[in-house]
Amino acid sequence: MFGLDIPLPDFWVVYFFIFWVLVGSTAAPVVFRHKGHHPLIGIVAGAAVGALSGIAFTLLLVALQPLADLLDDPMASILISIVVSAVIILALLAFVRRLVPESGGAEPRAVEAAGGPRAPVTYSARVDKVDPGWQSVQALRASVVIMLAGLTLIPVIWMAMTAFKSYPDAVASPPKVVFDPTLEGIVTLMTKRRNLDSAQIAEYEARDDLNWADRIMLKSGKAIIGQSDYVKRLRNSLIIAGTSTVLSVSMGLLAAYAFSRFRVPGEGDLLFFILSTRMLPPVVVTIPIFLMYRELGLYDTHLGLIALYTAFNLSFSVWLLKGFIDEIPKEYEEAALVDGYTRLQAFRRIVMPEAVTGIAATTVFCFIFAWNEYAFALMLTTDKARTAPPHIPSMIGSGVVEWAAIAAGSLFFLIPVVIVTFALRRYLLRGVTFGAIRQG
Amino acid sequence: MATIELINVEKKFGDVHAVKPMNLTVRDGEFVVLLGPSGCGKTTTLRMISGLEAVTGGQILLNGRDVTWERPSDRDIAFVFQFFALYSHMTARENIAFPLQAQGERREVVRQRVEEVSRLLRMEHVLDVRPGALSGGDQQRVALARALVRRPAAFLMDEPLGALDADFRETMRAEIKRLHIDQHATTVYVTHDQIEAMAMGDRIVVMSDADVQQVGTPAEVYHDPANLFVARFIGSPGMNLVPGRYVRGVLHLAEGATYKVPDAWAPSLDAATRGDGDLILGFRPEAATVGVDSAIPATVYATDLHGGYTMLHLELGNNTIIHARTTREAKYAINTPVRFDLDPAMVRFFDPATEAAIIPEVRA
Repeated sequence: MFGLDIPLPDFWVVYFFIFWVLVGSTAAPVVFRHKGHHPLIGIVAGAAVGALSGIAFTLLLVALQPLADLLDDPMASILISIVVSAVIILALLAFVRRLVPESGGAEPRAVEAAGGPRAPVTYSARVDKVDPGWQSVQALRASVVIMLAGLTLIPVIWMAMTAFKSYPDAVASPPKVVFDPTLEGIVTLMTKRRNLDSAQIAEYEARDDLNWADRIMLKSGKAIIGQSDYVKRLRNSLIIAGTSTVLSVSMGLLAAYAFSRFRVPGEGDLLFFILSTRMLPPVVVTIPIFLMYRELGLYDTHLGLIALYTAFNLSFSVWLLKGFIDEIPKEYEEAALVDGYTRLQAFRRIVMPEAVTGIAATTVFCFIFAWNEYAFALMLTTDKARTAPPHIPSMIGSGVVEWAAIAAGSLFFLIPVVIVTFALRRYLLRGVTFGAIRQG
Repeated sequence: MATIELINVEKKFGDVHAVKPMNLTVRDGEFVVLLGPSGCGKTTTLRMISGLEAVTGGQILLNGRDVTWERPSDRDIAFVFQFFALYSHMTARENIAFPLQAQGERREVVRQRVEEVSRLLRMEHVLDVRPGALSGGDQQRVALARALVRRPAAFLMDEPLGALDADFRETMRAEIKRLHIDQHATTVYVTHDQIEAMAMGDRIVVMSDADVQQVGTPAEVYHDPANLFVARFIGSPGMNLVPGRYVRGVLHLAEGATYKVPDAWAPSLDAATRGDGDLILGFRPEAATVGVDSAIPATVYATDLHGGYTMLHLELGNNTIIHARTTREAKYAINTPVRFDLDPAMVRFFDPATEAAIIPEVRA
């Protein structure tokens, strides 16, 4: 994109640039805070230092191009560039640390002023006691971890970017990082279109009743003739995954509670039987299930897929929840029973809140399974109950591959899972309900 | 308040008795301690009284009302668990209010009662903290408050001090005892700690092997143990038990030593042994006094200074070690031969075959 003659795709230049800026803007504020300045100054200064290093990295790559040509392998020049730019940023940071003057009017610490800290003093809060160099290293480590984590997000980011690319940008080689965002992919995803010849295009352009979506499509010579099935597929996915998750978690919770608390005859055998439903890859029974479903009239119905996913998830949720409920001491409920509650009330008021971590984790796992399931959805549905996973690849269709539309479809498909996981993240942290019962 | 009556209450798991048929009456306002080693059935008994465990036989009466098959929630009793069983997702205040909410009390009443009880236990400052952040002692107070707040007919406590540190235990022991006296609450208290039982109980029920060994006041179980188990179990160290052969008023101990039994005991011992038979002599460490011209010879095996007194370990021969308490000034080298006497009022005799205590016809 910069028109540079370098052995790396542009993307990597951007990546390293962001990396150095992040390193600079996390490491430098430590120094500034320690010397009594506002940390914001440090962030700006650090970002500047990082930007310089990023530029140095790019220039180095350009300068080392002859070396790469000579060795017929760009790896050496890339490594040298990384190391040198790392040395540059560390030197710059050390320089900053030296040069920044001590701000004399550092506010007196609350500890001294009021005879006690305002907030609980944790290790990380003791800036006065911690060597700024060590803290900078901590910040550096955090930056590296963030950037490595960022690497794993690249496919998702790439998908999100593709969703907003025009067709030429989406299939461009080398791939484009900077492009003109367009809603073409999303409009393609949501609509059915037909191709127009040049006379028709001229005729359409003359019309004034076109909305923004029509105009976007018109640019590539197409007219919108109706709504696509995508929204319907997504709605099917939501209904089926949502209902089957609620069913398998609630049924699993009751079953797990019974297994955990009561003497069930043949408990071990029953639990093994429940587990054994997961012992063969479900795909091997697609044909029998297909035949069964056709006979039962469950083919291409919501109910059919809900029942199937619930059955699959139930074994998982019973086992997972049983583990969580086993960990709740039975004295909890006994205390409630003695205190005047019925068993069902005790279950609702005591067991469920205590097991909320497990319920949340099970919900997320069940939802993800039901949401992502592909093979059975493909085999057992055609139209009425078809979910998004088998629908999205079907958009590849014939002729050109509408990558933008597929990426947009996948992007929207991700959102519900993200929302569910994000909404339940608080409960996924185990620590929340720890430490109420003393193990003597 | 209430009386609790157990009539032939038993619990069987399969063919094994967890609690053999037992009878017990806990009087109104009484503090009864169930004492015994772990696995003796004391907790099971408590759980049967509470209704958390179903009986397999017998009847439980609460204030004369048969509650054997009533649900725990209908029995109007409070249970304090060993590990407190505080709800971690609620604050201390919500924990304490929880039993009142079950009764559908109005909000103001709940608040008022929670504050009353927390004032009583001096724990107002921790009301808005979650149990996880409380110290052991405060968790214990919350658990007690949750039991107290409902003003139940009776309290059942299952080793409530077991999970506390030693010094806290002392404090809480006194606190529970005071609370009991203030509230005049019928209490059944389970513990395996005989010191706790002696310190707190109006009456102690000593249990072992799923069976009641003795029911009595702390003084009774200490001085007049009903059998060898109680004699060994109560006191630290337990009662000294020396086997011997009884022949007409004289007990022949090992290696020629003899002990002339007190005159008051002679008739009952004659009756028990028909004049000639094996017996076990039992006496507490404080019943033995070491003296120059005393009756029974022994050698010093070890001595430990316990601060206020010295505990002598004396060997009687036959590897029988007995314990004797002497003043803390007393000093004996190891292997010194000594002689000791027994306080005639404090000796007891047991039948080695039945392990039961021999009951004197005329109390000495």
